[in-house]
Amino acid sequence: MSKSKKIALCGVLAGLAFALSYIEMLLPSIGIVGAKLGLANLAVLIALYLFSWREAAAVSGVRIILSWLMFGSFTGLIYSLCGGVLSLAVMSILKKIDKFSPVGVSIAGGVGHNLGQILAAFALLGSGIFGYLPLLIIFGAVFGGIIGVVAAILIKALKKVVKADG
Amino acid sequence: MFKHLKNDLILLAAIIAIALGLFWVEKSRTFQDGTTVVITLSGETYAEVSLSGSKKVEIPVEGLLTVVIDGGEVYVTDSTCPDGLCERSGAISKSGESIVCLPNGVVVKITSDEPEYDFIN
Repeated sequence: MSKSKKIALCGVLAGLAFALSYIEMLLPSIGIVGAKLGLANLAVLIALYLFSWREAAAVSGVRIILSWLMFGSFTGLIYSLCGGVLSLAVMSILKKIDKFSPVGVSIAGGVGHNLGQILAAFALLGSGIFGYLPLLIIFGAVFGGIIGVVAAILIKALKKVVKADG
Repeated sequence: MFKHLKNDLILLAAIIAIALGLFWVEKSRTFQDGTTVVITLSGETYAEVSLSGSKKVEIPVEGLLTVVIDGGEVYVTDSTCPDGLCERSGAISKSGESIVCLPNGVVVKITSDEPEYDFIN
């Protein structure tokens, strides 16, 4: 694939990630601090599987910065960054060892995201937040699994399109 | 497409097992009635209040956040944070339980003066 085509596709994915995080903001929260569906991870996963971790990091980074500029606070940015970095690191490693499908990678990414946020909260707020850790791990895994199934289907379809298109 | 489905399921099961283990550890520390409410603001202790009696603590965050202690229970009202999750998490009463308001950087946690049981006894 030509470089310009790749850049254009990454831009589309970053826009998609941004739109998905906006949609997620409109959804009602389930009432637990930090428990989120992680819709935007769909676009990051697709970038990871179509290209590499670098493109996925770009998509995730652009999404985080845009969300911060549009809706967020500075503390929100710190939580997002910690979650995003840990999530992407875990997903890249699991993809590299090639023992899991996108579903497993997404499960680990969801858990990694919540762990990163908890660690940020620990640094900012002290140890009071650790009571939430078990619940956040479970929600991260379950929501990550749901997102992963959708991502697996999309990745399979998109790989064909990208290949056919050259 | 799902050729590693078995590995995925093992991963999911392992993660949930770890979470349940942590849950159990957390629960085993929280069976006693708490005695003190510790309120931290951005990681630093802002106030320590006895859980008995009834009082209100107003915390000077951006806007306002009020912690109400009444009848052995603690809950948050009047928070100006955007999601209001701290208000919706309801009342807590047991040692080790906490209410967190991430946007305002406030953690309300119940502790106990009695020594905590460790795993050996």
